[in-house]
Amino acid sequence: MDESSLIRAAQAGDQAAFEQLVRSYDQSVLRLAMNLLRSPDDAQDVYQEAFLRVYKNLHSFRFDCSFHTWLYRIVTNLCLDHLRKRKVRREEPTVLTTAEGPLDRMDSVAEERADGNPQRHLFSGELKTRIRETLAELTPRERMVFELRHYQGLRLRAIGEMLGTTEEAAKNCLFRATQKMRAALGDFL
Amino acid sequence: MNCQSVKESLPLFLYGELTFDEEDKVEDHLSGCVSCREELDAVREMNAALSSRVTEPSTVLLRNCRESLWERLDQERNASKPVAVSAWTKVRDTMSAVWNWHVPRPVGALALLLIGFVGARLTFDVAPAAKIAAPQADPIASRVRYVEPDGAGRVQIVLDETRQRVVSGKLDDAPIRQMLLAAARDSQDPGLRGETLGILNGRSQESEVREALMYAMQHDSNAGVRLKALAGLKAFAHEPEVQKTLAQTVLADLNPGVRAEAIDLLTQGLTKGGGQQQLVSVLQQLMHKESNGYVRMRCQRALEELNATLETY
Repeated sequence: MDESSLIRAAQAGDQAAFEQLVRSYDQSVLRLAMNLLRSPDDAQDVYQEAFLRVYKNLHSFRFDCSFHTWLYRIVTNLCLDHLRKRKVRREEPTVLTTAEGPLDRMDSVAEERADGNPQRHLFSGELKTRIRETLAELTPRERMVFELRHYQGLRLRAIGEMLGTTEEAAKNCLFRATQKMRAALGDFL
Repeated sequence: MNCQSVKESLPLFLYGELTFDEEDKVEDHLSGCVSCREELDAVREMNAALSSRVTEPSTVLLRNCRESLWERLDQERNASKPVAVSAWTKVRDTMSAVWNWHVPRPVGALALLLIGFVGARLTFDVAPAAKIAAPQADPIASRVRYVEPDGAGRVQIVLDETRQRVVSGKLDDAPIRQMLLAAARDSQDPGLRGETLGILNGRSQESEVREALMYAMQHDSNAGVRLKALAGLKAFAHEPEVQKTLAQTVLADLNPGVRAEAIDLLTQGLTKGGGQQQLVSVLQQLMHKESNGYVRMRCQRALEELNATLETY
C-alpha cells in the first residue's frame, strides 16, 4: 500500500494502517527529538505527544503538503516548545559527574550509527564539550534550523515550510547558526 | 566578492544553499585565493566534527516509545467510546424531563449546582482539615458526549464537563494522601506523577507509600519517575520486599540509568540487612546479560566489593 492509501485508510479508522504509518516515520522523529533535546525522557515525551496529535488530527490532513512536512511541523513545534521552556527553567544536565568521570546520559540510550564516521573516535572530549555548549547557546530557532539542515539533511525550502516561515528566513537562521559555530570552534580546527 | 563575504558564505556553499549566481562567484573567488581555500577546508572539518555528534536512538528506546504510544492510543480509543448506556440514559432522561418541563433557567442552574454540591460531598469523605473549594461557576472544559434530535426539531446535547477544585490539607489527612497515591499511580502526566512521588517520598516509612513507590518502580513508563521512586526507597533498601523489587529492577528495567541506581541501592541495603548470597546471584545474572558498559562497570565494582566472582561457573 502506498503512503497516500495508508493515510486514507488511517483516516477511515484503520488502526493497522495508522500503526504502519507511525512505524514508517517514528525512528526519524525520535532521532530528531533526541539529537535536539539531548534528553531521552524529553524525546520520548515529544514522540508520544507528536503521534497522539497526528492520531487526533489526521482527519484534517488534506494532502496540501506532504505527510512528512505535516508530521515534522508538529514535531518541530513540540521540540521548540521544549527548547524554549529550557531557557526559563533549570534543566537536569545530560552530563552527570560520577566517581568514574563524566557520563553523558545520552550514551546509555544511543547507538552509534552503523555508518558512523570512524574519525569520531579521534575527537577529543574537549571538542565534544565545546560543540555541546555552542549548540546549547544557539536560539531555539537557530538550533532547529541547524539540526534540520545539518543532521537531517533537509533543504531550506522544506525547513521554511515546516517552521511556517520563508526559505530566506530559514537561510538567515542557518547563516547565524553556522557563524556562531565557526566562531566557537575555530580554535579546534 | 571579497574574502570576508566569501568566508561567511562558505557554510551555506557547502550545504548547497547558495543561489546559482552566489555559488558561481564563490567558486570564482576560491580558484584564486589560498586563504579562502584554507577556510573552506576548516569549515569542512568543522562539519565533520559536528556530524560525529549524531546519535541514533537505541532499539530499546524506540521499542519503549512504541509500547507507550500503543498503550496511550488504546486509552484514547476507550475514552472515546460511549459509557454504559444505562447510567447515561438515566441522566439523559432526567435532563430531558427537566428540559421538557420548561423549568426556568435559573431554577435549572440552581438544581445543577445543588447536584454538583451534593455529589462533591458524596465523592470524598473529607476530613475537616482538608479543604475543598466550592466548584467554580463555569466549567473549564466540556466535551459533547451525545447529540440526539428529539423529533420535534430540537437537539439534545449531553456534555461531560470538567471543573477545577482546589483541595488543600496536610499529608496526614487520609483523603489528601489517597488523592496523592492515586495521582502517583493513575495520572497521564509523568511530570505530575514525579512531583507527587517527590512529595510522598517524605512519607516512605508508611507501608502504603512504600507500596506506591515500588509499584512506580515496576510499572511506571517514565524513567525519571522510576528514578524518583528509587530515591524514596533509599532508607528502606534493606527491607526484603524492597530488595525483591530492586532485584527485579536491576534485571528487567529498560533504562540503564535506573538499573545503575538500583544496583547502588541494593548494595547499600545489604550493609543494613543481609542476603549477600541473593545479591551476588542477581549481580552475576546482570553481568551475564548487561550490554551497557557503564552499568556493567557499576555491577563489576559491586561484585568486587562483595569479594565475589564476576560470573557463575
